[in-house]
Amino acid sequence: MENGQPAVRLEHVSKAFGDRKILDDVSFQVGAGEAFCLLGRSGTGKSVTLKLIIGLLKPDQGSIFIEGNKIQELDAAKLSEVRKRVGFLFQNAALFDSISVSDNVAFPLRRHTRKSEGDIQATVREKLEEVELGKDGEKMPSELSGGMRKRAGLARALSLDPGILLIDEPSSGLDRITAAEIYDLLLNLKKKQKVTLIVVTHDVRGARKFSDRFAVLDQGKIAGSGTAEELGQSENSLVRQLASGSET
Amino acid sequence: MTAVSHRLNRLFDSAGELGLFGFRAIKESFRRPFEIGEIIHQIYEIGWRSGPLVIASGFAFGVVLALQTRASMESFGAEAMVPQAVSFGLFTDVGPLIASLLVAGRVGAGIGAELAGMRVTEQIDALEALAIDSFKYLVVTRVLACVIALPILTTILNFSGLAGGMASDMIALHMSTRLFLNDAFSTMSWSDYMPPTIKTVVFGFIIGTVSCYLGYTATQGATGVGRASTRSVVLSSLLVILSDVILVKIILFWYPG
Repeated sequence: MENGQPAVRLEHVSKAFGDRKILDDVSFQVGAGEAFCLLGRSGTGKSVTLKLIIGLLKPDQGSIFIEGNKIQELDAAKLSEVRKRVGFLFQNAALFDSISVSDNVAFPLRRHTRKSEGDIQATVREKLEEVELGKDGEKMPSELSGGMRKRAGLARALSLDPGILLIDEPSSGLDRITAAEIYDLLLNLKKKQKVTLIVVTHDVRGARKFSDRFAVLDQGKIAGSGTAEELGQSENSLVRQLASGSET
Repeated sequence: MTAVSHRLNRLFDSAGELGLFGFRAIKESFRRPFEIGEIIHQIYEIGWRSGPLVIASGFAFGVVLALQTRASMESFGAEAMVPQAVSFGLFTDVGPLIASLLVAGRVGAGIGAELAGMRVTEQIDALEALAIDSFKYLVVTRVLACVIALPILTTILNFSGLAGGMASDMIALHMSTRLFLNDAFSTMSWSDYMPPTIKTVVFGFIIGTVSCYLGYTATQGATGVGRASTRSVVLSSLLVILSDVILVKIILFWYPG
């Protein structure tokens, strides 16, 4: 933990869309270098939580801190600085479809660094090789398979070497082998680069590979949290089901 | 009655949001970063790529204008007035309006669909997550590109229309190029050209703002993309025509000619 403070902290966060309450007084924190996995059934607000953390959505109540910075109180310039330290892999990768995979990865580097074009290209190659897309840089996003899109999105999210990585459903729409490859990449990131991971997923079996701690969201609240073993002994049947991977 | 008032409320809400959106685009255009590279790219997309359509339409329109004018003028022996009629008609109002409607059709639909597509596939969220101000990068650049490109496209359409009228007269009346151009510009003054061309800055702002607003705020997946595209064309064309009425009145007030 940097200065002893958690990488990400949510305090009593609530969020509603119209009359529908998505999150209701949710609190949790994730330590630096920790891999935290948020489980829950569809529509329980897992993706909303990630978007709240990075400030794409604003909470109705409560506070969100990234490395001690209260997100809601930051001005545009400071929020931008915080976001440069946080990578976000969207569920469908959200690659910019009008530019190539290489340009997608180079995009944040061109915008936020003073690197020469040569250095940027070298970084792009390195990031693409990390996700095993070294030979696919010139392809357009529409030419990629689902797994390749996820990996390209991961390469882009890693381009600025973020300390925190938010990942929305890394395995959705992928076969088990491709999903396992993505999990290996995440495990590698956690071990070698000490990146803090906050992952939203249904696939608890896969997530066990790299996650230190889990939390289960149900009806807008944290229904349980802890290690996979601790969740497995929960009194809440949904938490036990999710932890065992039988509820997917 | 309640349904009508509900619809009216929604209409006023949307009009207010659109106004604030346009105001924000103006305000943000004076703030750093100025996104010069992206503005140039958008001018290329909006302006340069509209060139062939504008030139072809302008030429065809010039031919039609000359044919129709000649048919009327012949009845009282004033065929020699055709060049003046063509140039005056094109430069003072028809040229700017046609250029704007063409751009509203081609570019408005394109911007509406592109931004709506980016919204529903989370690409706009991805820009924000990458610490890039999506409004500045996507909206301000496109609005400015429309504002800059439209007067240029209007001038191109005016001159290609003049070329069309000239070709028509050369074939039908064996009029020389020099005589046509002399006649065309004999009664034209700078004030006949500049105010109508400059008013297309307003048309460009309307087209850019409306299509960006509808695309940027799109919802409901693929349906939303189609809806944003269609509405961009309809609303921007309608607002261009309505604002033309006001702008013509203002121009005639300042330049009663």
